[in-house]
Amino acid sequence: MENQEFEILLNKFIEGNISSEELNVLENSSEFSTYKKILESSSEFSTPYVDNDKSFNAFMEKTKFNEKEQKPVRKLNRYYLVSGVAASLIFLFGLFQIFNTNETYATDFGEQLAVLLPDSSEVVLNSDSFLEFNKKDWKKNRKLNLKGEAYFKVKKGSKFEVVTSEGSVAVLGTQFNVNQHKNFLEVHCFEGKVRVVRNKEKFILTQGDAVRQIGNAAFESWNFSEVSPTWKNFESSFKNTPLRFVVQSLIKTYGTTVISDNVDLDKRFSGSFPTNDLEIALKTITTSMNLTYDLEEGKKVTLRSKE
Amino acid sequence: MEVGDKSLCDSKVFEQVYKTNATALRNFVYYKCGDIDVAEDIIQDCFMTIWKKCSTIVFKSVKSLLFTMASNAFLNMVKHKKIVLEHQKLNKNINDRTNENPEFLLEEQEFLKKLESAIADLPDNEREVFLLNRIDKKKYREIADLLNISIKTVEKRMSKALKQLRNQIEGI
Repeated sequence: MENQEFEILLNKFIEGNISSEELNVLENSSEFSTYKKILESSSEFSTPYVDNDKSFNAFMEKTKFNEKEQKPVRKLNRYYLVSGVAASLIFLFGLFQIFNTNETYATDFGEQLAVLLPDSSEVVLNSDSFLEFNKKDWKKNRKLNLKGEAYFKVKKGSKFEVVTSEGSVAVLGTQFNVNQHKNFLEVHCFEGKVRVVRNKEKFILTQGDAVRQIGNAAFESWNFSEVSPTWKNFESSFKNTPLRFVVQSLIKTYGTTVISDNVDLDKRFSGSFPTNDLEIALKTITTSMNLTYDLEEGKKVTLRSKE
Repeated sequence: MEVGDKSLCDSKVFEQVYKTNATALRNFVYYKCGDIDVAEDIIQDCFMTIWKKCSTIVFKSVKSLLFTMASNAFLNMVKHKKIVLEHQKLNKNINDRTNENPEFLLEEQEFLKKLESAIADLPDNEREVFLLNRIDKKKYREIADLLNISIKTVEKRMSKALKQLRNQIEGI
């Protein structure tokens, strides 16, 4: 018999999937009896006996000893993890609510909002603006954060400070208007005395004074005769203001998008536009600035130079 | 976590895994090193590693992992004892089989002694395959899985082992 064939049959015999004919072939070969005896005898061998219960107990003793050095790392169930995080978020939010005594007010495009402060000082927020102050601490610390434009009528008392990202305005008891855009701060003083600080530069205003600083340029100041800001009467007025900031006011008031095409935005504009009629506002601006405008869907404004 | 996927970190599950696999694993190491105390030490080290890393191990893979670990642990060992097997007949025959022909008994005893020493003389990889099949009654498929080798290799080692055993016993 071929050696290889014999091996295949022998392996089949060991695995127990040999057919009777194949077994006959095997049994007829001379060496099979020895193999069979080897296989049968060897299957009755055994290894030295070890009791697995004892083995396990010995192992547990070892683990106890080992655990003192290093505890097995346990994986946190994902659901516990998620609910844990959620619970702590809720807890932190609660804490925030308890300790956060900051009052905030915000206006959307075209909105105005009158706010009465705890000392009965008055604030009127112009459109798309944000005001924040600490209610609890108000008596000691009359300090507000402002983004956008607001008119203040301050009761006499301790220092009253309006902080914007473009500088701060501090007063003792007065009426004034603060208008802030990015890189732009304009303050009108209607009564009393106001101190404006921006980029460490100070400027003191008295009644009828207005001041403006654009970017890092020098303060511009002028006088005016109104007794309260015109925007309170649905009119935004500007004096010698770069068109760029006039357009920003327009966007804030009407919530439109403005695309300017071939227009010099640094050109200065003096005048006013109504805050409740977009068509008239656009006409007012474009006529005096020698521009044309397109208004699509009541929202998209395109400005073009006439030249 | 999948339903029905047992965690090794559960001490009950671990105990069960230990007790069902310890004998086979210990025997496997014993076939290699021939020293039951060393085998016991090695398997306890393997179980220790598994216990410490229980969270990272998939339950299904634990058996083959244990065998791989035991195999690797053995590679690091230099000492090597000759394997000693006990034969059930060898121990029993004095009491149970006195009615048989004493000449036959003597012959049988001699055969078993020869077989035992022939097994001890086999190369490690052939001996472990041969004994996993004969003593632990494992199918070729199982052996192949445990040792990470193909069935063909198992068959080859088995054939070679048998040939060498026969040659040694018959004194060829």
